[in-house]
Amino acid sequence: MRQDIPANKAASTALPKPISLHAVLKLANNYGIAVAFIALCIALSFSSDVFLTWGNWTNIIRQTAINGMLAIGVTFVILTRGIDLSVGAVMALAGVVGATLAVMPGEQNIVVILLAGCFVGAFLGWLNGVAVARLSLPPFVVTLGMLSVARGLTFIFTDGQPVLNLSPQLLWLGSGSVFGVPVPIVVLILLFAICWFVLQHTVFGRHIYAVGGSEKSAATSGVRVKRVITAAYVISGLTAALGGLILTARTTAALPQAGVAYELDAIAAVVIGGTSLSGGKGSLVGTLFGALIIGTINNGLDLLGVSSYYQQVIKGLIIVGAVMLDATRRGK
Amino acid sequence: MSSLLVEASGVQKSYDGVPALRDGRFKLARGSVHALCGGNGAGKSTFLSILMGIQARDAGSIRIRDEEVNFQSPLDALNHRIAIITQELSPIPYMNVAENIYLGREPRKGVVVDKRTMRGNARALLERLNFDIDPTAPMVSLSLAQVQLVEIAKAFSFDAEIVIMDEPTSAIGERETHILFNAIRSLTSHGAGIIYVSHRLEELFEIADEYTVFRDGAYVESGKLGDIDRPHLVRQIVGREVAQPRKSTRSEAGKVMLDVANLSQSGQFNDVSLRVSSGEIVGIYGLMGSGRSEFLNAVYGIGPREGGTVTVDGREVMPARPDESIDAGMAMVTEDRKESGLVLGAPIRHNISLSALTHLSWKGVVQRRKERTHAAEMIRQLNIKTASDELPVSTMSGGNQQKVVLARCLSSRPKLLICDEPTRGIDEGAKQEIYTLLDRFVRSGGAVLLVSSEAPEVLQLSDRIVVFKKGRIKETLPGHSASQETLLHAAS
Amino acid sequence: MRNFKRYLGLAAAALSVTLHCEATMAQDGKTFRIAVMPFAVNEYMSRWVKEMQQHPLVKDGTVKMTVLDGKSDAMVQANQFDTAITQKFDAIIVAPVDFQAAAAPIARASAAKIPVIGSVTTANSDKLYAYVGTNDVEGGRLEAQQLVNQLNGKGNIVILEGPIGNSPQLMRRKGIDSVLAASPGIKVLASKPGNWSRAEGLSVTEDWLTRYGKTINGVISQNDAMSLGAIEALKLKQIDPKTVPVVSIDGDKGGQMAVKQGDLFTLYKDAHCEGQGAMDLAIRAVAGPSYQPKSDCWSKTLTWKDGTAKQYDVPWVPLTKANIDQYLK
Repeated sequence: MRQDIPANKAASTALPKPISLHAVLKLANNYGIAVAFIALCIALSFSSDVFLTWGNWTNIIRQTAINGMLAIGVTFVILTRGIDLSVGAVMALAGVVGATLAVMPGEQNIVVILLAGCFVGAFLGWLNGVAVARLSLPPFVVTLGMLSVARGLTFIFTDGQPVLNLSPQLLWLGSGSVFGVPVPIVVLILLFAICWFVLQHTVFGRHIYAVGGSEKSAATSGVRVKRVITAAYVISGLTAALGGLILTARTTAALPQAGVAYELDAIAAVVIGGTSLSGGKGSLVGTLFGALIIGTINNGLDLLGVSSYYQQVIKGLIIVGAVMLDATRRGK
Repeated sequence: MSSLLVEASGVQKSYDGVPALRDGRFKLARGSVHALCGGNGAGKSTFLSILMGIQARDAGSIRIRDEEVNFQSPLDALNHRIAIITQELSPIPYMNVAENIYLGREPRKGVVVDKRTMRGNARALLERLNFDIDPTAPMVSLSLAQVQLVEIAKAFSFDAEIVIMDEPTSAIGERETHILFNAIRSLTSHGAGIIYVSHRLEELFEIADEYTVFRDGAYVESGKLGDIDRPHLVRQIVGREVAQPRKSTRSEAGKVMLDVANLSQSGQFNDVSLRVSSGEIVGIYGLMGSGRSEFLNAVYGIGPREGGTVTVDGREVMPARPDESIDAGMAMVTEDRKESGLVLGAPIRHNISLSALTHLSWKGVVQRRKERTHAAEMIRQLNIKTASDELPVSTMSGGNQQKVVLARCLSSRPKLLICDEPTRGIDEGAKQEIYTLLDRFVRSGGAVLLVSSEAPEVLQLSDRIVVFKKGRIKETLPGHSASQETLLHAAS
Repeated sequence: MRNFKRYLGLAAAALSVTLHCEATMAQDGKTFRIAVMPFAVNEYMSRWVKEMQQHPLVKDGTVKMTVLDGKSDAMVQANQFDTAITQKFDAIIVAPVDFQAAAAPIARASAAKIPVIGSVTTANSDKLYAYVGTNDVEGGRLEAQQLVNQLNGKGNIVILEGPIGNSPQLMRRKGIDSVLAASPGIKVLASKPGNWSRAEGLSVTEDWLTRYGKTINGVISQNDAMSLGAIEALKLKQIDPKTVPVVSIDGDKGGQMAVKQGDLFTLYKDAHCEGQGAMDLAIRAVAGPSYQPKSDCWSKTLTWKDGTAKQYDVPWVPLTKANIDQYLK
């Protein structure tokens, strides 16, 4: 039987024809983000002889770690066609809660501190999830509200004052290292590995992509859509909490005004990394590269002495460029 | 004045070196309804898109009213008074009916849109066509059938002389089809010519005067429909003898698989009870708005239900829990596969396995090799045409997409298959394959509950036919002895 | 689509090439790389940076300045310290974002043998090579004393502050409180952060006026921006600012105009000396005892002390209608 046109076209892209225009574009499409990152590094290496050193790279990755953690969680949410604007504020709240525990009399176990902070993040994420999934409220509005609520709670909880004199246990999260690798980087790698596995290899991961691709089709196929969406927001809250604890440890003080506007960089990382804002398409590898690109730009542009005003413009242009790319890709 | 509105000969078109149309020949006379027939890949769509100015032809000649034309854009076609009613409905949801009809050519008072005149024109148009639709209603509030009617009204509003209708009745019911056919007759009596494309062959015999068959990108035959019969047409379209599927010689129905008792949902259906046993196909027939789809959705759990119970093989299923329905042994092919059946952007393989991931995973981790094997097996069994199971389903034709939906349903090893318009928008060849599939399914002990607005389809497939009317079961007819007349009579 | 990726790379390359081509002329062949870290790039910080750029050794290229904007984020500044350390800068001049959070990064830099000079805002760290800045405690004291004197020791006042925990807020409040403790006739009706912002100063003062009305006799504001908001609030309620004196700190453009109009008393914060003083100290830390400071501050307002003192107080200059014309540019 003769195949119809669309199938034929698809056939020509599937076969490995290196000369075919289609195949080359597809490669650039999938790995473009990595290519862009490498190009950026090469360009910036001309700016300083120290740029490519192990020390500077440890710096960049450590500085990217916190945004990377947030972005990993936000990826889950955006994959379900949602958005989470509250991660910066949740970060701050988890940080001050963890810090408050850490300064209480008696040595607090680092595990307890982590659990407490994560509980805060997971709980707030759960609230977001319920509002979006069960009350069917728009994610933008829900998480915007949570942003205000969480930020307000942070100030109330600390009475506007920073939490100081953190226990060495907590500080270790920021300044310690495991086998010579700084703890924030270790946490980032572990988190990425776990989440990557979940998204790519588990049933839950498939469900996330299905819900984002088509909620109705997912429901028909037996996916428990409300649960999946709620879980995505819980994950986002959890990673925000982790990021908040590490931020607190690195700044050696839990500041109630920490994390302001951090959600923007997190979302930017996800979008630059190729995850579509309309859900169902994207990957954590892309997000990681997106976060690295932002971190490298911050670091590189700082070193080049580019004023922070210009840095903001450049970052904004890159985000718009990434979203335009996403739109044209979807239009195909 | 020539009596030929359209005269095309030797039209050719290739994409990326692959020929889609090798020999396009077509003659449309004034006042004629001309059916353009052919399966998927026959070249119909290509030919029509050239006629509409969307694509340019590579070779051949097209004459409109004796004038050689070479359209560069759809606007050129419009200027030659050619309009089209498409299969793909894409209304602007939050605008109202009148705004959608006159989109881009709204009557103006200076710079501002003259809303009152627009509404008035829309109302007059809808009344002339006898469509019962409020021009001020937002598109999002209309049913699928009504959206299609608005699309039809829009085409009529262009005052075209040549109207191309591509599957115009795919979403509308008997009554609206009747109304549409009246409108078509009125148009042709004024000298217009209609090119009518539909997979519903009985319709063609009802409304069209002439026919042309394309197959494999080339013209095959044309003539008057009055001179041929359905088997002949099918033979020309498919290119080989298609055995008339014998009415099932299925054995006696087995135990009750689905037991629906007193199911109700206010405004949709009321106190509906029926049973489907293993080995039987129960078809639900009814006019648009009789509550059939809402009923099916409620049974499966993707639509609401307030009262009554649903039991599958002895296990009661809670409302709004499609995951439980699948677990109990149900599977459903929904009415709109693009909207609620498939995840279009996902690979074929992922779509196939989506309902059965628990079987294909271990402690929550997907067993990829098992999944690949399973998908390959389903593709083979259902004869799904694709170069790779990695491709997104959006690249497939309607028939193949529907097979993917079925593959997904069958993957969860259901005892009961629920189908809402299973062959909507699918070519003849794939249709037959799906019928065979359903037959095989019930022969091996499954049960099928289906809804179809194609009377011949219901008659061919069902062992029992349940007729819905205004949300209730009007009567139940045995499949063998029913006829289209009795069905229509019972339903209206 | 491919183009976008290319442009990204090209843009970065272009940037690096342009800046690389900057001609650098060194004095006796030596260049010093100094990282300058403002806590944000607001009006005062911009002036501070500009003053440093006017320093003779920066102008002639001996010192190569890299400005790293702290974006009011303690984490960002901490990261920038790490970058400076990795990049082996010769010295760091910093206006810390947070009094507490800056301590650890400063210690890290110090451990890496990079001298850190604090300026404008201070940190809770003894590892600073030196601190040069106006004494905020003294500033708070001076402005509060001015108001007390103007009210003859009796009256009700309100206080507009910076964000709680910010070092200037803490220090200035300390000074204000010390004066208030010694002035029993003055009652504080309310105090609230205006977060250094004019708009917030306006809305907070409006609320106070609604609540306390004519009972307010004076306003202490910790910076000019907020005080300008307060003055606007007074005028909106038809109250002449001369009857309800407003005292402030900064002496920026807006403040100076208000002083000229007789609406405000403020303390001039000397960005020239805070900036160039810091620069000289930084060079001294790197170049050694033989270095003689090049800024004119050292002859006018500050004493060099061989560049080894830990604290250099830049004096406040009270601005009143009498002397404002000298300072107005």
